[in-house]
Amino acid sequence: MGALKSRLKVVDEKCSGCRICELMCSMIHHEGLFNPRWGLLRVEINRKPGMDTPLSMIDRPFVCAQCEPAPCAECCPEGAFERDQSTGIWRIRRDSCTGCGLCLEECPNHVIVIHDGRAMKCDLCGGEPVCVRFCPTGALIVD
Amino acid sequence: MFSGGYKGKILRVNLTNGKIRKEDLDSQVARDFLGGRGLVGHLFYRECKAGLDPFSPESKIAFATGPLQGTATPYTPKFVIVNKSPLSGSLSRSVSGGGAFGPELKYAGYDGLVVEGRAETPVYLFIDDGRVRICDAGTLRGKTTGETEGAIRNELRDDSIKVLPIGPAGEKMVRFSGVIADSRAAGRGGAGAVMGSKNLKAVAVRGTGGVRAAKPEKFMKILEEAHVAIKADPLSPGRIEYGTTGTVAAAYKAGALPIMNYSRATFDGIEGLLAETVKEKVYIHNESCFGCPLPCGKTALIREGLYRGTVLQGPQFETIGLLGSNCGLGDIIAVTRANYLCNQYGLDTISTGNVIAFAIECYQRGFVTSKDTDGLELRFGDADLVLELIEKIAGRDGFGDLLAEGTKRAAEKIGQGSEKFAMHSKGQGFASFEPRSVVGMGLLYATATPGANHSYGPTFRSELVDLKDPLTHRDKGKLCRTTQNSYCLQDSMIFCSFSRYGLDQARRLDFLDAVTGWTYSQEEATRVADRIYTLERLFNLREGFTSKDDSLPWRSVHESMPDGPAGGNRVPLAPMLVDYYRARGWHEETGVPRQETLKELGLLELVEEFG
Repeated sequence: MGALKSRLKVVDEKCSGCRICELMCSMIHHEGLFNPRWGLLRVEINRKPGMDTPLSMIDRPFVCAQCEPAPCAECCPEGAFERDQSTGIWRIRRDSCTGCGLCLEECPNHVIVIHDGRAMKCDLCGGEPVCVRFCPTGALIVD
Repeated sequence: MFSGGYKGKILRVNLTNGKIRKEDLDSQVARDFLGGRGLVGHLFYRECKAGLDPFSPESKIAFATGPLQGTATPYTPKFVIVNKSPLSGSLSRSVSGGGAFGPELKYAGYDGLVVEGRAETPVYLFIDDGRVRICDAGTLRGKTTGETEGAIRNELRDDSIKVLPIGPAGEKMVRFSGVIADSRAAGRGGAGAVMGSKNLKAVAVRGTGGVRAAKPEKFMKILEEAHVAIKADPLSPGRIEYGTTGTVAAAYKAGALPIMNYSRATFDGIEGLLAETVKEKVYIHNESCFGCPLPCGKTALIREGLYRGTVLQGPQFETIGLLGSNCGLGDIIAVTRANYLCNQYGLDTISTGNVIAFAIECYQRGFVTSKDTDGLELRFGDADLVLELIEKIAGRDGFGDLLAEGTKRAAEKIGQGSEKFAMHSKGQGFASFEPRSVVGMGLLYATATPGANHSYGPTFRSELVDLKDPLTHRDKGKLCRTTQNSYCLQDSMIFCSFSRYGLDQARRLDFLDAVTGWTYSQEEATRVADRIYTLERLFNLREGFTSKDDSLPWRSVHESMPDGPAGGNRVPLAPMLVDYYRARGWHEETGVPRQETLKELGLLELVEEFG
């Protein structure tokens, strides 16, 4: 097992909930299509005007932690997940995925999506994640 | 044909007969009018016959995006609502970035939504990609904006659904009620009341499609450059730290903050409303709108006292000016609470502060007495009074029913010369700029399509910073055309007005090119803006407006400013108007667009067919 080279990390208190990370992730991974719901990370927006509404983590990003062990990989009935030994990044072999959606349910951060019938997950954009590049507040970093 | 940005579809819903249609967007119209405000102006000019009551079923209300919505172009979370204003009877657009409704509408597949007719009972509209349903909203009757958002998401079992609600004030057709999503208001111009008149409690949307840029590589390149430029703008850090409240001190210093119904320029309570105070007392978190790299929104919390635990987004500059200093309040906690109530009930904070201050002055002058005000004693600087009047207005309760009609109509009913101090133009209340101290703002108020709406192209900064001459008529006509045009473009592409931080016009047009594949030179863009503005003028003229309606109240033009840096000044409206009409290519006396102007702007055929 190769050592984990890098992974995304969140600095919660810096996030202002702009969702540029999701937009750019969607664009890069879906051939130019912008829609944050197809991003391979997500930002929870907990802005609830009202009386005594909870105020911790108002805007909170969730990213793929490239878990070890990885629940998504372990639950996959097709064995479609493989780990890049040099970078430590978990990838999904598109040809093997049937789009059953089990990995979505198992992912602790809920950052896997099914798009066009196949599961997709964060691949760290091959090393220079677009979400980090465009995050205006420094809430996302590569660790 | 469209190669990026646009979805090419307009959704049309008739609430009287339940008919739902998806219509093609004409790409030539999109080229000529861009989107948003320009596009709907064109559509309404063709479809809305003159003289309709804004509350009649035949009247229309449109929710429109521009080509940039849904992409990661900086400063593009917004959408516009266009309707005939129940305050002024003119065309009006309000704009909001709340809740990412605009981008979501695009993801669902539409550039805009037009609603016509009137439902028999309260309904809400659910746009779920291609599936569109008119749903019963009986259980939502009387609910606040926040409650309505939550209830619809619960009913549809999806927290990601974007909801545009009206509050109880909209249901009761308070003429200045707005549409408020996530504490962000499309406030001015009575869109909430028009929705209320249609029995339309909310519009909800879920979109799983997407938007593409015509030139993705160019897009990536200029986005990277734009992010660098926004960070490098020397004014950005202040915006991030204080939001829009920095303008409070700037306006006050210029004598332009409205104080006690626009009667003076000095205010004992000013310290309590300055940016540093607001930040220290209520702001707790920086909020970005959707896709925006400059988080100028602020989560606010009241930490102590009677209203402890109140959470909202705000308060911002305009609200602080109108519900604060204009009502004589120097207590940011009270202003924050007033802001919260307005948001929940669905009231425009600007018009609300305007009409309350007017009522207080009427009371002071003896035009109304406690017999008219349900026993209330009206005075400036009384926080409890302001909060109580907000409740009364939202519920059209007693004296509040009169104020719910807006400043102009209230003055007509009160009579006794009170119209001299009714601070509106065309029925739309003044915003947070005293025009005697920055006279171009007076010209803007008088000539803005819907009446005194600052967000139709404020001249404030240019007069102070560029012209260094806020007090005379010189060069104001030309300036006002320029600022109004700039807002025409931003309302149609659609950019936030704060896109000036790091994005100049050239950069904005560059994004337009990267997203749509259409290039516009600066000259062409100016022509588009002139076209949009002049067509709005034609709409209003057809409704019966004349140059006499390009007016300001007596106080602004006849009563000298009593104090402050503009002491002794009045708004020199007449000479500014002549210069302005000339700059626009309109007749210098009548303000009617000249034939050659219509020809130059490509509007002649439209006027001949629909004029």
